[in-house]
Amino acid sequence: MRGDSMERRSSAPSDGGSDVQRLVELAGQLRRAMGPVEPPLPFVRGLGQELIEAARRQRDAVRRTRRGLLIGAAALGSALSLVGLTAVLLLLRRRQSPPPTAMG
Amino acid sequence: MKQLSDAELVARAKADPEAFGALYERHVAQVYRYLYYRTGNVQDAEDLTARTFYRALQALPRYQDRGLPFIAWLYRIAHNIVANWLRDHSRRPTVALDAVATTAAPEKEPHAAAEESEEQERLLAAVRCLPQDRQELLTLKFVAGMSNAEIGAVLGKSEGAIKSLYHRTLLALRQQLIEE
Repeated sequence: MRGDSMERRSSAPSDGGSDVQRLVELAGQLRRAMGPVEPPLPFVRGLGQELIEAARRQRDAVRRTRRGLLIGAAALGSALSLVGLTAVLLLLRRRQSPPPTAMG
Repeated sequence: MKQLSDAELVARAKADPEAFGALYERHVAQVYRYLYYRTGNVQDAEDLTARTFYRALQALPRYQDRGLPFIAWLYRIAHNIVANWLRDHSRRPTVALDAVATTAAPEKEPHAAAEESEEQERLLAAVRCLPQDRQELLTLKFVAGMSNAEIGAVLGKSEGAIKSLYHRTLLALRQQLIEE
């Protein structure tokens, strides 16, 4: 995760060697000044619990949505099948019934 | 759960809340640190850390592994959140980074430690005067310990652009310190 070209360049001799050296020192100062800061433990624990609860709610919502979609798709499929079957039956009945004769 | 890699945990976390909890525990300190140095105070760092993880939870089903560490994805979310926060509030961190003093080496002589702490405060004050993108770069490099390529991925810039920006940032910072 680390790879400071600035720090690598410090060993390379160049005209601006002292300049580079000063920048390397500045980088070192920054690294020390921006030292590790730990989050307060009660905050970490509290947020962790809240997040796990939120993740559970999100998972349950996804499951409910999926189940709803599945039931919806099944209902739609059944309805389409029924419509199709009715249409076929009507078609068959129409074919079987004799054509109306012209009267008079 | 603790032995699993980030990629394995992410795959599990899409259906298992405990796996998301494990990812949170693994990365919360890093995200908090980054946001602490970006906001300058504990309250806002906590608030934005919570927002970052809630947003990560919502976005997790759409997460795709693109070869970068999972933490880079979290930093990207945190970066967007802090950018919005800075824009909405039109503010820069003004409160002293009081915890920084506690990070100075405790074994030093009190006088030397106080001097170093003062020096660090001066340096951090100079950092806070830099433009936002430069502050961001320094935070990602020194707080998150990211490489130029990883910083580029978070900020949406090339590795070369980050390298160049880093160089210019150090020069500007040094100039600023000299002028003070």
